[in-house]
Amino acid sequence: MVIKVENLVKRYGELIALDHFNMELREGEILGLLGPNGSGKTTAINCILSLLKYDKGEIQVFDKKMSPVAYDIKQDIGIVMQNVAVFNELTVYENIDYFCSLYVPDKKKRQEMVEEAIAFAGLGEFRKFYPHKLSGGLLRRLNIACGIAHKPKLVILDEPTVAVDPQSRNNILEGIVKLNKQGATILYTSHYMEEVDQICTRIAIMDRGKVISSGTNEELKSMIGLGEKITVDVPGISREAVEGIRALPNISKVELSGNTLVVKSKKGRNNLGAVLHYLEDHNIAFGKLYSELPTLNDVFLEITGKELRDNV
Amino acid sequence: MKVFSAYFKVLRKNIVGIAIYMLVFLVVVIFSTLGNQSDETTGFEETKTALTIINEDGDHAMTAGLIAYLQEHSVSAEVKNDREMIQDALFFRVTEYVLRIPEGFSENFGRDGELSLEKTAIGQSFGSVYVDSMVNRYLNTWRVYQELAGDMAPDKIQEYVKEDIEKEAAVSLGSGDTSENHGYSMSYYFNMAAYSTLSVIIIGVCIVMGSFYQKDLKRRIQCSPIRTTKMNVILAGANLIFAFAVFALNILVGFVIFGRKIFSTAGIFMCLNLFIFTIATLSISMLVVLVVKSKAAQNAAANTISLGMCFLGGAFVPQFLLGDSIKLLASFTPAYWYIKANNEIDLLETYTLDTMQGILTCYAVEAGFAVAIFSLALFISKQRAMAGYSSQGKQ
Ligand SMILES: Nc1ncnc2c1ncn2[C@@H]1O[C@H](COP(=O)(O)OP(=O)(O)O)[C@@H](O)[C@H]1O
Ligand SMILES: [Mg+2]
Repeated sequence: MVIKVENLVKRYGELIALDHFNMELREGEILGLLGPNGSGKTTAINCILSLLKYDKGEIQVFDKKMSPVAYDIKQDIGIVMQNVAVFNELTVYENIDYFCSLYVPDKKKRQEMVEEAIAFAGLGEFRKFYPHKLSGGLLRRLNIACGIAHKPKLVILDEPTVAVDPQSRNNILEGIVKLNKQGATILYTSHYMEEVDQICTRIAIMDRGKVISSGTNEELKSMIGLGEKITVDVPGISREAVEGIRALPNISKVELSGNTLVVKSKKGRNNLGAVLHYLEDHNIAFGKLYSELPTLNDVFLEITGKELRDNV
Repeated sequence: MKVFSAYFKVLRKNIVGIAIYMLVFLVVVIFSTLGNQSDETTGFEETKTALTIINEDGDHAMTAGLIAYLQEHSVSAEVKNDREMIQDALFFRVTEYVLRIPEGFSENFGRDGELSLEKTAIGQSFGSVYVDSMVNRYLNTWRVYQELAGDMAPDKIQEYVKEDIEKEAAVSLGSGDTSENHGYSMSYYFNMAAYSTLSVIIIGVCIVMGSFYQKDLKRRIQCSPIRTTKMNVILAGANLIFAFAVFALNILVGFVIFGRKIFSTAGIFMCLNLFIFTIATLSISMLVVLVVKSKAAQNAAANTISLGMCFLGGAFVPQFLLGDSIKLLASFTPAYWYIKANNEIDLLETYTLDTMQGILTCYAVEAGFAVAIFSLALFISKQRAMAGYSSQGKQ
C-alpha cells in the first residue's frame, strides 16, 4: 500500500475539515480525489505530508508511519502544491535544479534529471525565464517540473490545472498519465470531474471532509443504478408506443415533450438497442437519436443531492 | 543549485534594493567627511533631487529652517498645490519628491499630537531615500535640542540645529582637541558605519530569508527530505558570509578614505568594534525576520531600526549632546555601545588594559546583545517548531 489513511479527523476550531477520512492508494494507481471546493482535499494532503497536525487518525506512507521527520519517506514523494511554490529570483532551470537538489545531492545525476523534467513539462524554450515572465499555464508546468524532477515513486498533485488554459491542461493531464506509465503512483485532486474521469484508474469522491464513495469510474456509475439516457426525435409517435417503451425491461422513466422522447434507463447493457428495436419493430419513424452515459456529476448528485459544479 | 548557492542567487537578484542603502551611506559619508576638507562638492550637484515643498505651516523658525536646509541640498521644483498637478509632475519627473508640511506641524512638534510630514515620491529612488535621511536628520537634531532645553526659543534652536547639521563633520567628538591624533573623521566614519551596517544587513537578510520563508515555499521545502536543522545551519552560514561581506565593504570604504591610518592601533580597535557590532546586527536581523512577517513591514522595520538606533545611539548627533533620557533609552541598543566605544578609542592616548577598560566593556555589552538577541530568535523559532507543523495550518 502506498498510502493508507484511517479515520483522519482534522478540526479548524469549530469547523471539521476532515471527518473520519479514509483512503487507500495502491501501487501503480492514479487515484483521483474528487470533491467540490472546501471539501477537504488540500487539508487531507497536508495531513498526509505531515505539514499539518491532525486531531485523530493514522497515516501510513509506503507502509511506514508518516511524521515530520520521516525523511526516508519524503525522499520518495514528489509534491505539486495547490499554490505555485517557486523562487521568483531563480530562473526556470535554477528552480527545478534547486528543488531537485533537496532530494538528489549529486550534481551530475541531477543535471540529467533537470533536463528530463524540462523536456517533460515542455519548458525547453523558457529555461532562462524568471517565473514572473511565465503565463499561468507555464507557471503551473514549472511547479510540476519542480515536484517530479527527482523521479519520486509517489507523486501528489493538488489541483494542478486550476486557472490553466486548455492546451496546458491537456499537456499536464497527458504528463500525469506518462508519469504513471513510467512507474509512479499518483494521487490527484481536482474539482473537475472531466479530468478525473479522463485519467484516473480509481476515484474517491469527497464531500464535507469524508470520502462518500470510491471505486473505478464504472463501479461508481453502476453503484447508483443509473444507465444511459436516450434522447430521440419521434415525430407523431402514438400514446401506445410510448407506453410500450415504458414497459420495456430496465427502463426507469420515459418523457415526451413535443417531438422529443427522453428515455432514462437503469443500469444494464444495451438499453439503447432495446429501444431501437422497439421503434423498428413497430415501424415508428425516428430522427436524430443519441444516448449519454451518466457522469460523475450524476453520481455526486445522487449521493449528496447537490451538483458538483454548484460548488465550483 | 544547492541551498547555499540559491541564497546568493536570491541576494544578487535583489542587490539594487540593498545597495541603495549602501549608496546613501556613501554619499552621506563623502558629503560630510571629504566635503569638510574642501568646499568643492560641485561634483555632486548633478545628483541633487528635484524636490517640491508644500508649506502649509507658515513661517515658523523650524519649518523655515527645514526648508532652507532641504533646498540647499536639492533642486526646487515648483508645483501647484493640487492633487492632480502633483501626480502629473511626479509622472513626468518634473519633481521626484513632494513634501507637504501640514498646518501646525512645528507648533505640535515633540508634543502628544505630533503631526507627520506627508511625502509622495517616485518609488524608492536613491533621491527619495536621500531626502528622507535629510528630513530625519533635521527633525531628530531639532528634537534633541528641544529635549535638552525645552524653553529655548525656536529661533535659537534653529540656529543651533543649522550649525550642527552643517558642521556635523567638524564636530569633534569628546572634548575636541585630544582627538587630533587620529583625525576627527575616523571615529565619525565608524560611527556612521553603524547606519550602513544596520540598514544593509537587516534589509538583505530580510529580503533573502523572506524568500526562503515564504509560506508556500516553506511548506514545499518541508515536504522534502532535507532536515530543518541542516537547512537552518546552511542559511545561518550564508547570512554570516553576507554580513562579513558588508563588514569588509565598510572597512574598504574606510580604507579608501583614510588609507593606512585605518590600520593604526585606533583603527584596528574600531574595526574590531565594527566586527562585533556587525554580528550583533546579524542577530537583530534574524529576530526581525522571525517577528515581522510582511515584506513591507520588514522594510519599514529595517528603516526604523537602523535610523532610530543611529540617532538614538549618536551616530549622527554626538552622544554628548543627547539628553539623559535619550541616552538611557539608547543604552538598550547595541548601537549606543558601539558608538561609545568608537568615541573612547578616539580619545585614547595609550593602550593598556587599564585605559581600555571602558572600551572592552562596550565590546562585551555589544557581544552580550548579540548573544541575547540571537538566543531570543532561536527560542522563538524553536517554540514555533514545537507548536507544530502549524496546527492552525495557515493557508
Ligand atoms: N487554515 C484554515 N483555517 C480555518 N479553516 C480552514 C483552513 N484551511 C482550510 N480551512 C477550511 O477547511 C475546509 C477544507 O478546506 P480545503 O482542504 O482547502 O478544501 P479543498 O482543498 O477541497 O478545496 C474548508 O471549509 C476551508 O474553509
Ligand atoms: Mg484545495
